[in-house]
Amino acid sequence: MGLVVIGLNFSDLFKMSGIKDHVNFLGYPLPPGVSLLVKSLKKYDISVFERLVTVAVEMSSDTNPTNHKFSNLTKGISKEAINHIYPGVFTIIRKAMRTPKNLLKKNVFENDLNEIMLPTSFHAPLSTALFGDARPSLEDNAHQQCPHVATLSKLRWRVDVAISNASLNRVMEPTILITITTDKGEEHTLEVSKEKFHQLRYSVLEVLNYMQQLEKRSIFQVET
Amino acid sequence: MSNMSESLFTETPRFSKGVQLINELDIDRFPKLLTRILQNLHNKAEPAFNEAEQVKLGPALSLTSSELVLVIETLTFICQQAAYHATKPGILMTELEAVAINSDKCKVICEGWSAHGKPTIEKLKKHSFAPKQLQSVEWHLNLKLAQDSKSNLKEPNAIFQLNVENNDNDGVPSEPVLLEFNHSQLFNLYNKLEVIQSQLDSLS
Repeated sequence: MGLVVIGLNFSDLFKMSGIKDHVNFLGYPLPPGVSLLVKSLKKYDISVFERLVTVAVEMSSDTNPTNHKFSNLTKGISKEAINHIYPGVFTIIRKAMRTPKNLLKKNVFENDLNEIMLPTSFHAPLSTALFGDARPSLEDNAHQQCPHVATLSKLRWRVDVAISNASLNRVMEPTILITITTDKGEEHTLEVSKEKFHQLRYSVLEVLNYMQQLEKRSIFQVET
Repeated sequence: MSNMSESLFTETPRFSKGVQLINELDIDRFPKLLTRILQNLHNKAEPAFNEAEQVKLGPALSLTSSELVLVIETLTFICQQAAYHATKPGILMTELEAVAINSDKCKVICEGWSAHGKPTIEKLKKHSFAPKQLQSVEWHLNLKLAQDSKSNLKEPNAIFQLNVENNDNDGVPSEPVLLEFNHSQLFNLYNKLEVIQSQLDSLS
């Protein structure tokens, strides 16, 4: 009696057990908007769907979306259609943007849409939206939409040399005057002496150095 | 050739009276008095001697309170003028003798000036009345892993706190300026600072 040795590795075991190693980008269970979308899509024409996809992309690319903008963009579409289609479409776009780029390639995206049983004819508008020209502005907006402390939007400066003042005939001290404008609209004007300027420069360089060291480490090279 | 118009001190009656009182002062106490005045020269807000000290000092130097005030004022004026013109000790000596201060007092003043003159001038140079001045810079570095709109990030993120001193009538206490930077934003800031630095370098 011979022994048959079968070499098995982990992914083989995984496949054999029937557990998929890929998770749908929408997650389980399906978000309610998406299930509603799939159920109601038979009633609607692709043109309505395309329009609402465009609206969703517009609203997601905008840093300050307003209700006014939404009502302008959805003029002429029935309320029923909006209620059935828009939440699902918006959620699909949002969830797709959230997943990192390399994990959600176009074919994986289409497979996932097939898995949730979205008719194939309706895939095209979503694919073009997510993998076409609109992608960069969607990325930018997704990146900015998070709580943050004020960032520097403008730094204006001037270097002054004090020639004399009330106490001294000859001063010859350079000072720097900087105006910091933040993206939250605050403006600060500060005077910086030479020593403090060197301190500031040193701190900036130190942090840059740490950032570069961090980015060199192996956790950054591995793309999950 | 010393021109009278170049003299450091204009001899007003009050100044002459002050000089007279200084000449009568006890030489032992004089150096300490002078040092105290020199060290407080850059501090315009507070006088060299507060009220309580003045009360004690008067009888100790056998001066009435108004005479004491005059003596302190005259000495302060001498020091301020020396600072203003950045006078060398030798020239200061000549000037002091020209206004008829006793030579032993002149010597003490010049010695005090040689010792404390330079630091005092440096402090006066740094003195500025700009409304907001940078005091110190603090920072911390984060690694942003995820946010509600994006998962799997791994982005380094630095937050800087610029502590600002408010010279503005002391009404409002100093407010720190908080700024956030990612790598590219920090690099831009660094480039701007380099331009400023090159300007500073071209000055010297």
